[in-house]
Amino acid sequence: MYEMNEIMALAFGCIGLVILVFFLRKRFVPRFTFLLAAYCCVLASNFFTVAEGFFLHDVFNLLEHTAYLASGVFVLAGIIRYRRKPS
Amino acid sequence: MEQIIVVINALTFILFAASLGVVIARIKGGHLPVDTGILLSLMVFSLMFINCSNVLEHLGVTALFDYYEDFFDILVPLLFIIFLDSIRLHGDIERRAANERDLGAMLEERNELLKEIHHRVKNNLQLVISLISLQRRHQPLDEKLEQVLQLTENRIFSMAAVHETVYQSRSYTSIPAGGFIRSIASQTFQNVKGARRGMIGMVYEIDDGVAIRLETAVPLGLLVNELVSNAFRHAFVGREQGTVSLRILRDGVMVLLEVKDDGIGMPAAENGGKGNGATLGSILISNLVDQIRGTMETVVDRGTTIIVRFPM
Repeated sequence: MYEMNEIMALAFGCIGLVILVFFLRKRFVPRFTFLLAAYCCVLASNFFTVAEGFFLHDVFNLLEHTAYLASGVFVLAGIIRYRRKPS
Repeated sequence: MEQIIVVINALTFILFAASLGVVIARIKGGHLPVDTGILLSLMVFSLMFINCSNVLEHLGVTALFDYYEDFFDILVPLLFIIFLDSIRLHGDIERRAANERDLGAMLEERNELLKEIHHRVKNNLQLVISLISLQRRHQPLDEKLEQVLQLTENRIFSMAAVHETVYQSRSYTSIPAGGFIRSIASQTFQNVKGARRGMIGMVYEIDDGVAIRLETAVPLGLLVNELVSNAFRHAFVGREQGTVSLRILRDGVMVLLEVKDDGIGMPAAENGGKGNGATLGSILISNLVDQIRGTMETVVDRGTTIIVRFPM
């Protein structure tokens, strides 16, 4: 069964994604591909968390954690890639 | 299935922990601004917390962290957006600082060029003076012609002195008047025959704090030259001794220039601006006073006093 707090987390994540896309289109914020990918993975994980409450519990549960793993890979790659000259 | 999930979660934890370590190392190494680094650390920490909560839940240790998991879930997008904005702000600051450095370098270059131009103008004027001087000394000339050439030399020297002061000064909007006025008056003094004999003295009272605009400097230099030179040439006719005093003082927002002699007093013709070479000097004086937007007053009483007031 689904939980309201999981749906709320997914909703906030989606709102965040909409804001991010808007900012990226307007070029207000820099385009960090890996970190954006990590964010999308976290959002996918939230989606799978909600989905597992409705059907295919085991599959979506596995996907949820796999998505988190993917986000971990992207976060580490994004952080390693981001480097600026020492001030 | 549960075992696979535990392994995945463990790997995820290792990845987030490594990310956090890299962020801290980046902050310490100066590769990441502190505020941006803190935001990124908080974001990674939030993800780590969610991951830990999952690990503990799936291992069956505790479900306590699950209560706070959603809070950190909401925190991740917020921190991510603020982190990206912080990066943008730092980029803006760096670009602005680079622009300021470029502007500073351009300004420095412009100042050097201006300095060089004034230096070259001064050198060229000095060259003209030398050429006239050579011409004057190598060929026997009648006294009148020699006097005219001497006056011309002095006038060119006045302009050269201003350019010399400009390239030695730091500012190109206003320059200290004391130095070049003293230099012009002294040169004029040296070139007067009577002064060479040491019978006519020169007294200076110059306020070194007087700074004048650049566009005023050349006409003022020429004016000082004309006034001092007129005093030496005309005030002591038939006299062996005398004194010319030059004063330049600040008078509120105005500058007071006074050239005073204790000679025979200015004849009426000198004031009228008609006739010979001396009259040419009077016309020149009048035009120069107009150029510096000043007013001139002549007092004849036991000598002649010329008072010029002009804005700074």
